Amino acid sequence: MTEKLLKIEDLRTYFSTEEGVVRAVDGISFDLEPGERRGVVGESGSGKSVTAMSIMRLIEPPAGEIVTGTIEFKGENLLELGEDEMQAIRGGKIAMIFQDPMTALNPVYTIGDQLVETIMLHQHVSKKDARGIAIKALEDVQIPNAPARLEDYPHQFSGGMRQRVMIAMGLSCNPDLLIADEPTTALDVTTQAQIMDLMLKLAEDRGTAVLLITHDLGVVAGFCDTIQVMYAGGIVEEGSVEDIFHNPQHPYTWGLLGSMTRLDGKHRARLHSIAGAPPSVIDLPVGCRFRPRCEFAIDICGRVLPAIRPIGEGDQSVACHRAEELDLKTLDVDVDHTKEVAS
Amino acid sequence: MTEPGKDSSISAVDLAEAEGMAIEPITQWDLFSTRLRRHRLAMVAAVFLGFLIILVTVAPAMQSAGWIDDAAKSLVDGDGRILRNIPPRGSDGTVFYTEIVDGEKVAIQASSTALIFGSDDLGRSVFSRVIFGGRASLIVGVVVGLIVALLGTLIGSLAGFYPGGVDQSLMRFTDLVLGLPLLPVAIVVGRILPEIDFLPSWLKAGPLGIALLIGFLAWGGLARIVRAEFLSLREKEFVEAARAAGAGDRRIVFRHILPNAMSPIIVQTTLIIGAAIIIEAALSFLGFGVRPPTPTWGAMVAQGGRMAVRGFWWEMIFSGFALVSTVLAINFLGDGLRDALDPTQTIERK
Amino acid sequence: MLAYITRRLVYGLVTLLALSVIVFTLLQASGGGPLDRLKLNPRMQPFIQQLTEQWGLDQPVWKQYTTWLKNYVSVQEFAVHNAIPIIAIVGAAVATFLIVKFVRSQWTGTYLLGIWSVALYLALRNVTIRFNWGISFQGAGDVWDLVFSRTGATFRLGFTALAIALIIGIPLGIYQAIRQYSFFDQLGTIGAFLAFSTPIFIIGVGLQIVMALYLERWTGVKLFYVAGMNSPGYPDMSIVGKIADTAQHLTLPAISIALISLAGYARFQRASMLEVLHSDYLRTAKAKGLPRRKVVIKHALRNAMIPIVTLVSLDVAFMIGGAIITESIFGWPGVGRLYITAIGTVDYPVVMAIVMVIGIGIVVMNLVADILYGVMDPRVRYD
Repeated sequence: MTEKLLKIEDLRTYFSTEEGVVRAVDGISFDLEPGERRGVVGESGSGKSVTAMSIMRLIEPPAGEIVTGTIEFKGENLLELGEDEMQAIRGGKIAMIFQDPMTALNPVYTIGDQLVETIMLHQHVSKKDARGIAIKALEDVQIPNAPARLEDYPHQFSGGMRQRVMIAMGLSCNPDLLIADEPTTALDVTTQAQIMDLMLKLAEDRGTAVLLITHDLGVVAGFCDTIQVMYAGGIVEEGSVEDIFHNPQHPYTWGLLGSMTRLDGKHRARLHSIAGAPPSVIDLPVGCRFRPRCEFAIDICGRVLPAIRPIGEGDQSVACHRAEELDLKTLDVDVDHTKEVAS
Repeated sequence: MTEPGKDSSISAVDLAEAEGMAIEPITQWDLFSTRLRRHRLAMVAAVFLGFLIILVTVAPAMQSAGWIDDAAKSLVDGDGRILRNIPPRGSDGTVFYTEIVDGEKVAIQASSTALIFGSDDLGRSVFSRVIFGGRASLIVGVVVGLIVALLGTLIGSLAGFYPGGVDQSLMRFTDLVLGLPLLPVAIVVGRILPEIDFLPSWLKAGPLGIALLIGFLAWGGLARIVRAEFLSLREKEFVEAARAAGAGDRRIVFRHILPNAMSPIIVQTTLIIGAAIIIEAALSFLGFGVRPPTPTWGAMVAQGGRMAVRGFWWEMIFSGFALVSTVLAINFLGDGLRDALDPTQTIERK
Repeated sequence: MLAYITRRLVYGLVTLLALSVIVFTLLQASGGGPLDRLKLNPRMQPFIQQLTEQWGLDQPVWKQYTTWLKNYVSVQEFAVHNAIPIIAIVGAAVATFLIVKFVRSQWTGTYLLGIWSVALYLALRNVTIRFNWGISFQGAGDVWDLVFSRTGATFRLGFTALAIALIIGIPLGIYQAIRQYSFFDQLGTIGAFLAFSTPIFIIGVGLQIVMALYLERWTGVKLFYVAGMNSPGYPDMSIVGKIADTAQHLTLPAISIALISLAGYARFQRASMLEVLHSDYLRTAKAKGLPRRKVVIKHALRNAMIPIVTLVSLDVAFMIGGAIITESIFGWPGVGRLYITAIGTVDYPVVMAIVMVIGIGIVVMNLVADILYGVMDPRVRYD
């Protein structure tokens, strides 16, 4: 087995607010192989973005704090690095692109300024060479007329074009890992597809590992090798895309899949929805966090928090007490369960 | 960390009820008062202002009851000498003064309040004058607040609701008023106001005239804010929905738009009231505001300053302190209202 | 851009006309009029009639107004001393044409502003120009000369105050934003509220009494003067003495003007800085691996300074109007004090002249603020 690119163990990131301590990420562990593309899926507030910000060490004290855990990147624990060393990794070895391309670029500097700044920060090249690299980066993300567009300001680009610029900026220093936090959520559907295709091509060509954070399972299906499903600050299920999609073991994953629009015509009838809302991460329920919304909950679920454990022959793992006894794939997800739970 | 989406909160309530928890509804007023109460300074300010309003309202009654002295009369001691520039002293003060009662000179021991703040260079009780001076400031505050709120809301909402010609002409007019330099113009008006023959006397020298003057110069900022609010609210879905349901302009404005625009109106008006009190005080300080003998804090600071040069510090200190603490209270209240009325803030159930 | 500037200037002109009509009418409405004082003097009686005719005081108000307006904009004396003004103006015009025609850059506004400031400065240094603003009713002479003999003092006070407010206020706001909710931040917030709520005359009189009078009375050291711009012996002092004397006179009035602007800048800078610090593009800058210092200085400050530019321009516009109270308190021989004196005696050529100077200042600085805003923020488009 090759050396892991990223190895996270028991990461806990908490925020203190007026209302109490928010356990945004509460004890998650996962690995990433070099070149692996992994989808991180979950509802808003499940801790996906906080995981990403923790890896980048962009959690701002005093409000937020990484309480425990290790984040090993190429064998080095990022949490033990000094601020200077971390700065060399940010943007250089690990790059990140964000959800809203309309606001993620500084409005008062040209695209060229911002690209050249990044390149010169991590590669020891002259300003002229940095410009050349910047033009190449823009051409790689298929921005027409790249040399001239360097002089333009962000507001002169459309949303999709700006996200291309963000990708160019992220990949300009050939990082080993690209974290993409909902990169296409703010874009329209056609642009979404184009951007995802582009990212897939660039990542494959360069062998860049990608951590794709999204709530859109459709995006994951076409892009990722592996998936981890997050719920209320913890990972409830992980495995290869095939396993998760064809053989979900956790009722939450099963519910998520049921809420997808399917285009193959198999399940036309009615979209499934998961009843209720995610728990407040301040007052987490005792036992399984999904229990209040789970239709298969039994006595033990209300008392013991299930640990994540391997299941089946593949790499799939799940955090559910009843994973073995439940055969979720035979259940018809089109049945509307919501009413029974809510009333 | 949950998103405050409407659907999810409703189902959270449903769930909680399903589990047998009692949920009490939170009304808009509950939210408002909870947030305002959390803002401690604003609460102190509100209590202070309430107390001040009551005090200046009942001041004439207190004077007739003999609890405080006449703000316009000099205090005289037993030998008929005017008690000029007496430093502040408590109720154990030994100063006696006389009053003419039914044509007779009657010697009276200084009431406990007479010299609590000392006396000014004409021997008048600074304590009484500070209380009566508050009347001018508060009248200016209330009247300017009313004028600005009414004019600003009216003009701003007309401009924001009727685009095109109405909007253009009203906003040009607003820009024009905003372009007038407030203090220099107010000084000119304040200077000549008492000399305009056809004006009634209450307008010439009293606080009402000054209040009207400031009010008519100061509504422009609020009009702009209200217009901007109307412009954005007019496009909102709930207004479209109301229109689709057949609501007329009047109903849309008064039921749907105006209530949503209330918080900037209230906050801005509060801040203008504070500024208006300062401008009135400045005019009176320069001698172009409320004319003597009506006491005002601005004029008292001017006179007190001249006295302080000679070592008689109390008139300036007490009148200045009254002025600053009143404006400070209004500004704190405005800040508290801003926080409390901000609908984007969330409040957690405890 | 040019169309925008022209339109703004036309609106400004309308505002100025309205301002002049309002103030002129008000001055006319004041009972007895400017000759009241002269009338009290028996020896002046024979001249009353003559003065009335000479100044047109017996004419209807609108006639007096049009006469005043015509005179106000007509040049009384104009002499060009050398070729520099012509070269400067023509040069600036050519440069403007070339820049507008060929240079399509975000910096066009700055270039034009800079070029025209320098050109106008050079031109004015080398010409004598006087408008017919009339003669003071109180015998203080030609109004143009009277007003411009006072502007130097007002600008000295105003710009010193502005410098104090900027140098302290802006860093204070930035620091408060970076250390939000710290003890220092909360102290600054309370201080700002206090400054906003304290009328300038209380600050002025307070400083005057405590720092100038009582300080000397208690310690025997004369650190600051109560009033005036310079001591009577000023011309004979050494350079060091002159600087010290100027500072001793200037400090207190400058601080009393600066304090409120300072609080305003700090508040505003804090708010705009906080907004920027929470912006997505700042997160991007951090994620790129920029050091924290550079994130703040290069990415945050540039954006956070944009709204401040408007605020400062408007403060410059209100410099003369804002100095009225302070100048009266500290006996500062500036335009503001002249205004109060002239109003007291209803010397309306002087009052009108100063009101219009204040109005023109506001119109021009509003325009400058808009242009600067466009320079700082590439998203702004003029149309």
